[in-house]
Amino acid sequence: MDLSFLWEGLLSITWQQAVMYVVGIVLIYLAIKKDYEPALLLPMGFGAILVNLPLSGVINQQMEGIGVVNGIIEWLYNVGIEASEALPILLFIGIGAMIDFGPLLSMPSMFLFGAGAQFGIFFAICVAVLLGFDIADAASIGIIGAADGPTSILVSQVLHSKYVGPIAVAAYSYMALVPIVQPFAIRLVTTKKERRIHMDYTPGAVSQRMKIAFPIIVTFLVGLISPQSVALVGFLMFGNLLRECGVLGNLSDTAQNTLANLITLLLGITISFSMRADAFVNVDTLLIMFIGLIAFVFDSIGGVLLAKFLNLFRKKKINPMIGAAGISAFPMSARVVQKMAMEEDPTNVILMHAIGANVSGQIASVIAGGLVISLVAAYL
Amino acid sequence: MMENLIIALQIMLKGMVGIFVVIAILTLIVMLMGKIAGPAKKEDEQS
Repeated sequence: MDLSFLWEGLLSITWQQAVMYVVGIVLIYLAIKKDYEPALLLPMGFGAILVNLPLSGVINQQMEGIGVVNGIIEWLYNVGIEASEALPILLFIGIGAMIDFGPLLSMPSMFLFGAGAQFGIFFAICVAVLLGFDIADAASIGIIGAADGPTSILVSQVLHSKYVGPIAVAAYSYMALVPIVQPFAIRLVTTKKERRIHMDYTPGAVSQRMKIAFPIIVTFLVGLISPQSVALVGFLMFGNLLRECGVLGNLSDTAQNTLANLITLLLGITISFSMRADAFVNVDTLLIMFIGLIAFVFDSIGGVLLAKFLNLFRKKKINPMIGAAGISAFPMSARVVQKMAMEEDPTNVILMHAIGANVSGQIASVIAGGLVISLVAAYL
Repeated sequence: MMENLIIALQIMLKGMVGIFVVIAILTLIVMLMGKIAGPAKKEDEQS
């Protein structure tokens, strides 16, 4: 009796697939043990193992005597990401419903830092080009600097990058590593004296009417200037309108919890389709991880330098660390900045300013995503 | 590569200018809304 089928699978494991098992286990370890973006890294880690099993049934397989057998993860990827980018876009409804723009609306000057802290995206695009990536791939890699997982996935998918998997892993990994990456970057470009600057907190009034009008105005404005952003910004603002309108509490709760959780769960395991060993285990993945780090570091540096530039013209100085909070990783970045401020001076409270900048970063990152798509499309 | 780098630098310039223009307009609109909504809030509070 021929029982070779019992060990055929084991013997056909390639070293690249073995590497992916290790990557999967590391992601699961980081998710569980270190609490690094567990909602995404755990499904991605487990998915990395699933899709790399020899002749895995979760991806389409050609079977002798039967023909093509469809796999669930490949189907989810084709339908939910490749065909429509539905999963990352729908997630924005949930994210929008979670965001309170109040701290930003009460301190509109904090808007600027959201823009400044997108610098890392464009700097990273240049670095990626210098390392030999073509423009579409370089732009997809650069968008890791948006510090916004769904935007990174969406942009890389729209631009048909073959690096969706490594980009998603880099984006979520570095978002989880913000408490390590940002203090390093901020200390590079600030002095102790600057980090000790106190800021008065005198927020303006924010009416309910203003909170309702804001998502509508943002959608119009961004849609007219950067039509490619509409899917991103529109769904983000739709979620926020559900939250702020005051008459759709159930829908807002569903968007924030059920919808966001369901899509997050599916998004992680779906993205793992792009973590197949043949597409993932190569030098390019290491380069992408390196460029992603550069993007995060230069986001922080860009925001800090903008604050320092503005200080040249202001009597009441801004704590330049506020600029670094203008990335999309909310509320982690604001907390990091507040913690650093208190390390220098335990009486220094700049949390609300940092939150304002951080919320601005959430808007600016999707605007940046749309602009990158528009600009790259114009050059292709 | 040089051609791609020039394109990347152009994307950087246009992208950063684009973001700052959008954000600056948003800032101005929100400041304006704050001025307009200020009295409206008082009305809301009175009612």
